[in-house]
This record gives sequence, structure tokens and C-alpha cells, in this order.
Amino acid sequence: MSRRQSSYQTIRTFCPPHCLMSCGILAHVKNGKLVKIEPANFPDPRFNRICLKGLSQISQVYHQDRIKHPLKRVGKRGEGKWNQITWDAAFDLISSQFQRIIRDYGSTAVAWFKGAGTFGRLSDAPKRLASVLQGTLIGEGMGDGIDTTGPQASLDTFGTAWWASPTEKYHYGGSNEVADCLNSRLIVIWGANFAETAPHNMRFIFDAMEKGAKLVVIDPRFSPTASKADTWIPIRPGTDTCLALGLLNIIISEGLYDKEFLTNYTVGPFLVRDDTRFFLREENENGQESQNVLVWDPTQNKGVPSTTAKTASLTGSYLVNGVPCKPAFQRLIDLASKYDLQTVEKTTGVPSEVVKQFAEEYATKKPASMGLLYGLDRWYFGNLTYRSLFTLMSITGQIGIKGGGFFLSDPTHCLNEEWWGFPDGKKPKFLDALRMYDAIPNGEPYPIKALWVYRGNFFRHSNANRIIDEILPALDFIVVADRFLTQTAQYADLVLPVCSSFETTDIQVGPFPYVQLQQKAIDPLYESKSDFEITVEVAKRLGVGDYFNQSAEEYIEQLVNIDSITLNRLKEEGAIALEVTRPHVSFLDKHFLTPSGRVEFYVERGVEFGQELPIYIEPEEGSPQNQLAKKYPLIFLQSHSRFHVHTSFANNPDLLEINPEPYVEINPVDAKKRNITDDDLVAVFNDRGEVKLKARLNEGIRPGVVDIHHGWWAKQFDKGSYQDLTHEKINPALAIPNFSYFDCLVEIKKTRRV
Amino acid sequence: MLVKQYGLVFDLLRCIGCHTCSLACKIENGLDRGSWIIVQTIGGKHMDMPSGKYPELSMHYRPEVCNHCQNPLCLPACPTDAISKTDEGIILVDYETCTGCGECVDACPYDAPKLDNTKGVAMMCTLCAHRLEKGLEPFCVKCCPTNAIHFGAIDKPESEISKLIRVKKAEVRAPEKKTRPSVFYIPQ
Repeated sequence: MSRRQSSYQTIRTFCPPHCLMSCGILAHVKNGKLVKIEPANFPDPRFNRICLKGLSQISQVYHQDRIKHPLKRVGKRGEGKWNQITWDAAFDLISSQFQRIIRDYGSTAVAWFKGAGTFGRLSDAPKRLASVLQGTLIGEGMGDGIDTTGPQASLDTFGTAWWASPTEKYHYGGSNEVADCLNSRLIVIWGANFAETAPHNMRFIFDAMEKGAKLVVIDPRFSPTASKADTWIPIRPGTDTCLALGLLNIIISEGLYDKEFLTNYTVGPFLVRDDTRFFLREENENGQESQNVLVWDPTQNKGVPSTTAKTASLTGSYLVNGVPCKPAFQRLIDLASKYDLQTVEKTTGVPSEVVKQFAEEYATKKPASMGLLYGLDRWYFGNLTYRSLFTLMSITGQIGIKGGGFFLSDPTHCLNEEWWGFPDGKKPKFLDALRMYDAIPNGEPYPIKALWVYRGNFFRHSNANRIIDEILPALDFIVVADRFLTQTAQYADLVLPVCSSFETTDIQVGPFPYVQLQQKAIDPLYESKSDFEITVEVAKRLGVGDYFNQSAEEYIEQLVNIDSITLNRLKEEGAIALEVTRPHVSFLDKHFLTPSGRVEFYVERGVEFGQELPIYIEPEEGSPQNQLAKKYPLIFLQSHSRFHVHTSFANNPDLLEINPEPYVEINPVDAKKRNITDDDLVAVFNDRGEVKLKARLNEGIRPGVVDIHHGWWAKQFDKGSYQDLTHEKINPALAIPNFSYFDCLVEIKKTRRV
Repeated sequence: MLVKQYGLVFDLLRCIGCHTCSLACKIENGLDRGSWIIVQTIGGKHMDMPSGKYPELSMHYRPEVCNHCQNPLCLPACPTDAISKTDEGIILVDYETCTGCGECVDACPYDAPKLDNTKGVAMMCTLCAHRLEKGLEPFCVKCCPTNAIHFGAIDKPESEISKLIRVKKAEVRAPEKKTRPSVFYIPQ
């Protein structure tokens, strides 16, 4: 009797969740089953890494709740009654629905909602289909509805978003490579909790600390990252811009700014008209404004074009061609001078002596870098906060130097992909995720009747009642492709089982500066298919199969066509570094992509909103000065934990064993006032909604603040969900709208299980 | 040179309490539930919570694991002689002989032995003895994202790990028990 030979293979692949850490992994496969995951090797061994979520992928792949077959809704939406159907029936249903809707409402009435559950380029095949069909694409790039205020601030200040720009080869946006923090003497982590959300950053930060760097963490919450700091600066949530202005005030008044950098590389000397607050421009022979901005040349005692000026004043008040004006830096001084230590302490809660010492340290302990992510992004005026930080970096001359500037998680870089997303130059209509909440129910600016959701779960975004009551009824047909019946999938008309990243080959980027291949390690489980395969089949039925007539590997071969990278090389070498100077530091050449070619801490686009400088405005909602605070006195934060990447992993059994259920965390002072003790069932509520869950008393939470970890699923709460409390207000000063979850007030009370 | 005592050093400044070591141990050793390394928060009452009063707070993490003591209390406490110390200083439980009586659990000052009720035995860290045989480091060491766990021969004064213990003034848990642990902690 012959025994079936057992097989054992190790396959190099990639952990795709959008934490952006992009860990390379070695998948151990025994008899076709994934049995072990271990960190894969990189040419630079500091990148050999994994985290608890990466290791928990095995139980995610073999999770009992995986969607096994295509499911067609039979009950009411959300009722949870499904019929198993064949793939053929599913594809036919999609194509007939899409054809009908395109005929009746036009092609843009079919929309794709793109999430960020993975960044596999082939998994983005629906985007290519949206382009070919001239449909609507929601959530592309910065249109994701979150994480956009930092990149927008960077765009305003440096002329480039902080991630990669797809148009310039090797243009990485404004941030530096994380490993560059080893050149820093001071590292300031501001509004980020790397220890949980970007754990691999911490390795480099600890390396820097061992070399003598000091770590300062600014966060209202005593986070795991704050616990590692030499100095933790606790701050009232939403007041970071005020602190930054206070720091600017000290730095300016003590003369600690970098005059040379300000004069030569920023708009500091640019004259600003007192009347319009726009830059004062040279007039040409026809009396029209040219693009040349004037500066004050003290040697000639007159305004001259910045392009020809030998010297330029940064301060003072002038009359040029009869127009009263001041250098932009003077206007910054005028703004910052309002933020004396007393005002800053009163507003932010940061003691005066801490502000002063930190300001002096940041300006003199050069080079100093800032570690940023998205804690500051979840505020209505978040872009002003990031701009205030970029201003701090600029006036102290920390931009374009090793160990200076800022870093995020590893900066991403681009593949050769324009042709893939936008074939023959065709593009879909783009809709920002946040605008969807008005556009779909109101049919403005045009009707959207079908929605194909891939790689995402938009219930994480906002108020579930609003989605269920307003968005979903406006849609004739909803198809959701996912691995699990997420809250979004629950409300679909058709659910498609998507395979995991271990079950299909794809291409992604990172960690910087590497490109890695996501290699198929096991066959797709059950009847699942990849997003790519699903799209190909639908495209064929809609008569555009010609755009999808190559194999996955053929497409990948073209996507990786940069430097000397090939698919074969990737298969052989695993990780290939791009040809770049390391550590990567942005703006070493002091070349900025702004209209002026300089760092624009003074932004003309903001004049319309009175935001030409990074002014401080009290939080839109989350402020004790808000009238609403009488009724709802607590600021509600959603910190991100190490156990989730948004709503991914919230159902993972390995992780639930360590972190079994959600809690609202509250300072004991606030708990006592409300007679709340550990593990009491409480309701967190405001006029928009309510969530019920257990309370935990935590001294690390600032009094006046409550916190529920972002990412838990609605069914894991006793009632409701945390996003039922938040709003979708759009800040008109933002070019791209952004959710401001943290800018939110609530009250909390003890309750009983119903 | 033969190693007489392997050990671990946990750098508590570098430990971010991420539980990756716990999961690595669980996967490498095929554990259905739990792990042989548990990451404790040293601070407040619950995970990730500090001690003190806002804003005067402190917290750190401590991965807890079998100390592979040079003077183990579990070994003499075992009524069936199921626990042994290998030539390389690793404490091992023989699952054939172990009855799961729990005497070792009571004897250990470090809460290292875990009773597995389904298997009916006590289990604990083996320093990944099966990997050491192949010249590999323990899996938790390999997976730690911040390079906070070090492995090596603590009986050799010239080894990297021994130098680390000396230079960083690494400490052991409960030295008063005179168990001579082989697991050291660099204080945060």
C-alpha cells in the first residue's frame, strides 16, 4: 500500500494589511495547508520583521466565518438571509444589473467603493473596470475620507503630498525614511502611537535612542509609545496647533529660527499685501500682475522681485508702490505673538515651563525629526495642525537635512501603474468617500444606483443609522466582495467570497525602499476568488473583456517595470531595493514643488478662509467651550490598538484571546462622578446615537476624555457602535474632505442590559 | 565549547507590549489556547494601563516565561520526576510521565508552568529546543519586532548575552527565591 507523499514548501510572500509596514513573510505550507508564518529575510536585516497580526494570519485564513460561496440576499437588506448561488449566476446578476443601471442612469451611476484592506495592485482591478466603463470610483487615493489632512498640508507647504506622487519617478513626497531618525538628536512623536500602529518604527527609534537621541511624545493619552518617552507632553485633545504656535512664539522671540533657511528657501521674505492678504506681485508693462512676488530689499530700500533680490527683509512693515505690506514671516510673528506661555497653558493644559523648554530643545537640538501619523488628522481643523508643524520644521531649518523633517511609517513609492488603473487614458469619475454621504442619498451631482465594494468596510467610517437609513435605500444594487460578512457585506444584495492574500499572487510595495511579490502559497479556499479574477469575469460579460485579456503575471511584469526589476528577479530574490540613496531624506536639494518653489508656510489658497497661516481655532465640536459640552462634556477619541487595522482582525481568534472585547476607557475622576466602576455596562451617547459596552477605569486617559479602540465590529458591542456617535461634517477649507471622528462630544452613563 | 546554560534577556525599554512573542510561541509550539510567554503590563490593573495619577504615570511591559532556573523549584516538586534539566540548562517536561498534578505550578515563583487540561499535562517554554537542535534561535527571538529579546549562553562570560547582562545591569525576577534564573531583564 503506498502512502501519499507529504509535501512541505516555504514560499516568500507579503503581509498585506494596510498598516503599511509591509512585512515580508515566509509561508510554510504542508500538504497544501498554511501551517506557519515567519519573518522573511531582507538584504538589510533590520527589515526582517513581523507582528502579532502578521502571525495571526493563519487563523484569519482558516477562520470558520470565511464566506465560502457567492451569496444572494433573499430577505430584507441586513436581515441575514442568503441563498448560495453559483459564480456564473453571480456574474450574470452583476452584469445585468449594471447594464440596466447604465442604460437608465448613465455609466457614472455605477460606483465602486475602494477600501484599503490590502494594497495589492491586481486586487485593484475593479478600478481598471471603473475606468473602462466610465463609472464612479469612491475612495481613490486621498479621496478615502480619512488620512488626508496631513498630505494636504504637505501639499500646501511643500508642494507634494507626504506619500508618493505618481507623476515623478522617485518622488517620495515630503517625508523621510524612518531609518533616517538614526541621524536625529531629538525625535518628537506628535499625535501618533507607533508602538501599536507602526511597531516596526520603534525598532529604529530605539536604535536612535541607544545612540543618544531623546524621545518626546505629545499625546493626550498615556499610550504605550508615551510610556517609552524621555518626556511625555500630555495635551488637551484638539489644541495641538495652539501648542505649535506657542512653540513658534518662543523660537521667534528668542531668535532661535534659521534666518538663512527662512530667507532663501521659504516664503518668509515674500511681501503680503495688508489689504488682500495675497502676495504682492510685480506689475508688468501692461499694469498687470506677473508671477514675480516682491520682497523688501533693505540695501536698496525698495521692493524687488524675489528672483533678483540679493537681500530680503523677514520683518517689518513697508509701503511698496503705494501698497502697505509686510513679509510673510512678519505676519507669522504677529500671529505667534498672540500665543504667550500663559495663553498656551490655559488652552492646551501644557505647563508654561514645559512649552518653553521643549521649544528651545526643538530649535537647538538639531537635527530633530518628527514622527507623525494620523492622530492629528481626525480633527475638523487637522490640516492647520499639520501645517503648524511643518511651519515649525521650516523656520528652524529642519527641512532637507539628515535627521530632520518628519517620518511616517515607511514612505511608499510607486510602481509603473498609471496604464493599469487608467487604460487608454480613461478615468472614472472620482468621488471623495465623505461626499458619498450627500451624493448618494440626494443624487447630487448625479445619481448613483449601484455600488461594488471591494477591499473595504465603509461602516467603519460613519454613523450606521445614516448609512442604513439614507445611503442604502438610494441604491438599487449593492455587491460586496470580502472574506467575511462585515457590517457592509451584511447589507449587500450580493456577497462574493474573496480569497486571502495567501491564495493569490499580487504585487505591492514596501517596506521602503523594497518591492516584494505577494506570491500565492495555497489554493483559494472554498469557492473564493481573487478580486482580479472576479473583475475579469464581470468585464467579459459587460463586453470589455479585451481590457483584461492578459494573465495576472503578465500584468505584474508590466507593473514592476521600474529600475531593473522583473517578475523573475522578484521570485528569485524576494525583496529588491529601488536604486535610491539611503537613508532617503526629502528635499536635500531644497527644491520644492510649490508655486513659488519655496516652502509655503503662508498659503494663498487659505486666504479665502482666513487660513493663509496655520491659525488656531477651537475644535469644531470637541471643545469644553462648545455650548454642547454642557450636555455632552466628554471628548470621544478612538485610539487605534495593535489588535486591529481599522476593522481588519477584529474577528481574529488568536487576537481575541488576548484582547477579548471592547471597553470604553475613562479616567477614574470622571468615572467616580458618574458612579461607574470597572466592567460596568455603560452607554456612551450624544444626539446622534448611542453605543453600549463595558467601562474600564484608566489613569492613562485624560480627565474629560473617553476612548474606545477603533476597529471593533458593531456585533461586538452590546448595542450600537462607536461610529454611531460621530459626524460627517465637511470642512469647506479642505480641498479634499476628511472625517473628523475625534472632534466629537459625548456623555456616558451606567446602564443595564436589555 | 559546550553550552551549559542557555538563557534569554528581555530589554524592557525596547519591549512595546505587542504580544508578538506570545503569538510566536503559540504558533511554533502548536498551542490551541494560551502561550508559554505572557506579556504583563507592569503598572495599572489591566493591560496597557499605567500606575499613578494623570499625568504622573508610569508603565512598562514584562514578558514572562519559564526562567530555566539553575536551581529550579519545579523540578524537586514534581512527584513523578517528569521535569528534567538538560545538559544545556533547559527545563523540560516529559509529557509521558507528567500527570498534570500541578505541583510544579504551585512551586514555581514565576507562574511559568501552564496546565493544559485537555492534554492533562503541565507545559512551559522549552527555549524552542527543537529549533536549537537545528542551529536556530527560539522563535520569539526571531519574531520580536523591536529586537527586544536576546538569546545565548549565559554561562560563557564572553558571550554577547553575558556582556549585555553585565553592561546593561540586567536583573532577574524574585532573586530572593535563590532559584538562579536564566532569564534576565534590562530595566526600562
